[in-house]
Amino acid sequence: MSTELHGRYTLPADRLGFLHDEPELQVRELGAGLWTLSDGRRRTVLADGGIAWDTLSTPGAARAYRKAIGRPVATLVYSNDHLDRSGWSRELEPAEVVAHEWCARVVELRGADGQLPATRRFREEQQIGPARVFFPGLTSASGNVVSHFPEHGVLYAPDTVLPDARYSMLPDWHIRNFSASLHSLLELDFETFVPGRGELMTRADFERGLGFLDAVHEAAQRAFAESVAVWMFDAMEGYVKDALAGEWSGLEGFDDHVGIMAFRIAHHYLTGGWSTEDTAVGRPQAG
Amino acid sequence: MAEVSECHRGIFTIAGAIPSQMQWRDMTYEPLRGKVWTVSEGVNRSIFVEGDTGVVAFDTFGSPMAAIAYGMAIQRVLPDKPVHTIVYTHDHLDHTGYAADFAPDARRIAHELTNNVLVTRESDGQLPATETWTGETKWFEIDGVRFLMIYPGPTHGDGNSAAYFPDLKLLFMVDSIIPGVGYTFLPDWHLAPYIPTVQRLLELDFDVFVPGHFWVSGRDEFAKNIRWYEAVAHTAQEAIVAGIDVESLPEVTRYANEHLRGEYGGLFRFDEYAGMNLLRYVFEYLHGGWGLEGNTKPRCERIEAHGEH
Repeated sequence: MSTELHGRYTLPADRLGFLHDEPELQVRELGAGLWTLSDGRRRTVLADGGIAWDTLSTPGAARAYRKAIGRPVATLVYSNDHLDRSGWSRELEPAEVVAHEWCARVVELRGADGQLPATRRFREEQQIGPARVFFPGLTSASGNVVSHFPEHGVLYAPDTVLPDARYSMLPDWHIRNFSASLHSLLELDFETFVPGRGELMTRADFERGLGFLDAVHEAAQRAFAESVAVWMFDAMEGYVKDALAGEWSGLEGFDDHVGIMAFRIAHHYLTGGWSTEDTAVGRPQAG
Repeated sequence: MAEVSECHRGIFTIAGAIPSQMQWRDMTYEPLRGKVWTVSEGVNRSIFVEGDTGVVAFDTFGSPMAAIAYGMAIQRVLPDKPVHTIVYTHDHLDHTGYAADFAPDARRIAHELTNNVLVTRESDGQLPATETWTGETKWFEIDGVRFLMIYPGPTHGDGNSAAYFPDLKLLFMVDSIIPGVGYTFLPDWHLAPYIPTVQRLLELDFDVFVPGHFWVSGRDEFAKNIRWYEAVAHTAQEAIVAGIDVESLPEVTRYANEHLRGEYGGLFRFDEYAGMNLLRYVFEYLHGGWGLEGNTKPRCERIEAHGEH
């Protein structure tokens, strides 16, 4: 196994030891032949037959993941392109890497040392082991797909809804389309939602998480429309806390995160969105 | 002069009037060099150039009322010369969103990458280009106004291009190099190619730099700003190594204050945005860059600024 992988970091190797520590993984069975694993930072799922999703967040975590799988990885599914999600597949040595075509393009262009290119790209829904894997529309990252396990009543959709308010600056989220894309998932039959971070959620938790995201979105747009200075963080944070604290302050992380979430969304309306992905048609960026 | 229209709403989706779109903006303006003027409402900045029969204006400002104020400022300076050409620097509404309120019948020029977004966005008030250009450079000579448009690679927005006036040693580029630290959380910045791409512009012979925000500066300020980005890129990696809660803005801001204030605390808006700049760079290293633009390899060759024109 390599201990040289460094992703995009440019610090000297002796500063990057944290990448290679192997964390203890928390493993929990979700149903027959289906498990969820977490390294404390990121969460993923694993199915019988050596079908794994994503890589966890560091090379060391990926090595721990491989040991937990305990057999050769037949198929590795990339949920999206981000390195903290799928960046360390080289440690898993999968026979096959499957990704949505938008994700695959970014992975190939990036050429990160630990992230293998996709060997199978798809646009239409795929049946992979017990999962239906499909692109629900733009949410965050590039080609972010969801995996639905109908027999288990489980939905895995990382980098979308969280069990808390810890969304930070909504990094690489596509503000124009995320809400509609996520609401479409409510048409699926699931009782357990596996987020990319944090604890497992129920369907009701997922619905409440969506409600929170929509509430922040509405408040941020209204703040900008009502001439809250879009470039003044304190003003924006104060506005949205006043508007939202009554219903949402109980969410863990609300105080530290809601301001920057709203600031990010208000800048969507200031700038018009970012690239062709952030338009109604949600077209991929020009290469 | 176009009248302000309540229907030019940008991409707002909430019902009712949008008061921020209708606020009056006082413009200040001053001659720079030759027939180039610069204009600002205190936050955003642009340039316009007197031609033989009319005006070549860059961008539109960021709301219907600001666009109207921009047009009135030009009319005050050059009362007999209509704006016949708008050159778009990039796609964002706060700079190019309101041609419909500024000069709806003008010829509109944009890089193809910019116009791809304009056409797809269909924002109310933002008019797509009437002509596009491609590649890295293109000379324009319009009504006696001569300049070189340069798309140096992904920096911010889509197709973000500089306007270079070599005879005046003047460079104008929006939302890349800005006085002080970077703007807020570096929205729609493409960080992997960003530093080497803006460094390429230093190869040009200019001593006046007009940014898209705040005040006019020069080469030294331009270079100093690049050093800030280099420092933030390094510090973001150190923050991750240190194991702080890198997704928490308050935590990251504390780290920025501890590690960047000593050398850079005097930069304009350090207190407001240093933490956000650092937060954005943290995600760059966690995620590996965003989308195709955020993973494009920068070009290194010299910008050809003395070719055929």
